[in-house]
Amino acid sequence: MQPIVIARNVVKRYNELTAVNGVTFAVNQGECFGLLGPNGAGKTTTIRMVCAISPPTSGELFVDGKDVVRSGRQVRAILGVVPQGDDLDPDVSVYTNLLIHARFYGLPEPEARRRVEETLEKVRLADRRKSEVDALSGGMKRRLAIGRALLTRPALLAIDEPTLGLDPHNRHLIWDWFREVKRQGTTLLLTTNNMDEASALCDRLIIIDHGRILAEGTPQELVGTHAGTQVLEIRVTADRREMYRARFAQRGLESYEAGSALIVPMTDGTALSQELEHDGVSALRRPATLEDVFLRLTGRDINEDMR
Amino acid sequence: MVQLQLQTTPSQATATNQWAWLPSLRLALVIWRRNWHVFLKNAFTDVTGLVMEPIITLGAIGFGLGQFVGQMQDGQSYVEYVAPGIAAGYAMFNALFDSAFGFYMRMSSQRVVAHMLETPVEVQDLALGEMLWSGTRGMIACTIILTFAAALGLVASPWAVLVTPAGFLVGLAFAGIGISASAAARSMNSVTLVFTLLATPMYFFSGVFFPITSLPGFAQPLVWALPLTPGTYLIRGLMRGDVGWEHLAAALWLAVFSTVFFFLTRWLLRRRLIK
Ligand SMILES: Nc1ncnc2c1ncn2[C@@H]1O[C@H](COP(=O)(O)OP(=O)(O)O)[C@@H](O)[C@H]1O
Ligand SMILES: [Mg+2]
Repeated sequence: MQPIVIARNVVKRYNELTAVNGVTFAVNQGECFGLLGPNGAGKTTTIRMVCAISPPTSGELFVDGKDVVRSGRQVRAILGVVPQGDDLDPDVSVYTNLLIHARFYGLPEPEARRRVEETLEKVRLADRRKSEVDALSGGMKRRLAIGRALLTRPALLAIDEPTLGLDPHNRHLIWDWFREVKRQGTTLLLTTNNMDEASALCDRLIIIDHGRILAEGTPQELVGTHAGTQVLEIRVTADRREMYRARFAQRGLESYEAGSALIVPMTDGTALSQELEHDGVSALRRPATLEDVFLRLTGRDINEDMR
Repeated sequence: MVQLQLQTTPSQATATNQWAWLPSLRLALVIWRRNWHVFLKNAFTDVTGLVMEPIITLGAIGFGLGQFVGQMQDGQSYVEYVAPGIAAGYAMFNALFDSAFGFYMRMSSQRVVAHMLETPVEVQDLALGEMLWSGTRGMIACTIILTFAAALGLVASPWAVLVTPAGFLVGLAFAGIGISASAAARSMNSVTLVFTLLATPMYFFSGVFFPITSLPGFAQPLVWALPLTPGTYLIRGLMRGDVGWEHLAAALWLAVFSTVFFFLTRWLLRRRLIK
């Protein structure tokens, strides 16, 4: 089956600023694909181009075989879009927000109203149907926005930072919906900088920074390739960090800084951690995670930002 | 990385998109309906605002000032002369208020427009839907004033039923101006300029309160080019019942003006919203 999203050398420039600098990827039908990257990496810009909201400066971008620039209307007709932040209509009720949305997709009125009811139940806002949007909590707004995008039963659900700023209850509820619609065959494209979210949901992901793809694979592959099986997390004062990095390098071990910690990816850290404890340095030995991959691949840039 | 294969052939892609610039009337009407819904929700405040000011103007200027003016050249009383002008003027103000301030809000802080553009809606559907809506606001205002004028015995002809569609045309023309201004404006303050630089001067110099033949010669073609003069002329003719081909020409001019502004609006909105 042809991938539902095909991006080849896609570039987006805003005047002199290059937000997305030549990305190539494909999203397969029915999978959950993640764009993982630090703030300002170009995730939002990328997802907006895929959703035919923002035209690429150059490159090729097809969704369901259609060019996003030439056939934007047809592309958007099969998408469900949840943008970053909130774009609910503050002038109308919760119910009417959903109803108007359904009309934009040409659903016949009785069917539209039926789906609005269904959605209200699903997002647990049936008792708030008459509320103004401004009277809803952040979690409720997010649920409404996601329910609205799912109401039209999209082939591809594109969500920018789905659970940013939500409490764990809402987060898990929303993750469950995503798993459910995926089981029903919906493809998911999401951006996140939350590692738990990426590991919990994504079949495959790309890590991007400065508008470029740094790595691609399943969460396990990425951890295996870029962070090893285990890591040692060492806390030493800043002046001793370079000394330790040099010592690790002598043994052929790469290390990188994450905040005030020094992280060493490795296959078996038993010997080294004992040695460090002997030195009086506290070393935490733990399984490698996606967060280690993220920090390693994008870490230097974050430090540059902070400088 | 991934092997990418494309099944779309270029000919297919162009074939489906030859008419891509055309607005979808269905989607424009969904937008119209959204605005109508909000209008009904606030109907009391909206309609009160809509009705009070023109009625006060008609009373104060028409009946009050009119006593000192005496008769107009062709035997009309001043209040009869001024009533259609006020109807046209408030069609203008209502259409402009919604398309300038209202639309600017929907486009900037409220993100209502941003959401529409994430759905199958294209910029041209947005332009058309918002223009039709502001046209409707102009039509409603015009019709209310017409009804009021009729109740006061200021309407002389059955032609006056056409004041309602004429009000729509006036509203449409000003919607084009208002949305263009919103799309070009960098802030709410700059939207205000449409009123100070355009609407208010037009209101006073487009034949609403006195015949434009009183204006200096060079100014006359200028005021005919702006939509309130043909609008006032048209509505005045319909209320009096002396309708000729010139009135049809005035209506056509409003239609042409609106069409040109539809394309300008589409272009400006595209420039602002598609980034
Ligand atoms: N409309 C815009 N105009 C100018 N620059 C933009 C615009 N949108 C995004 N950018 C810039 O593009 C870069 C990538 O932003 P974004 O895609 O929002 O990153 P992310 O979503 O990964 O945090 C940033 O440097 C941002 O400032
Ligand atoms: Mg973002």
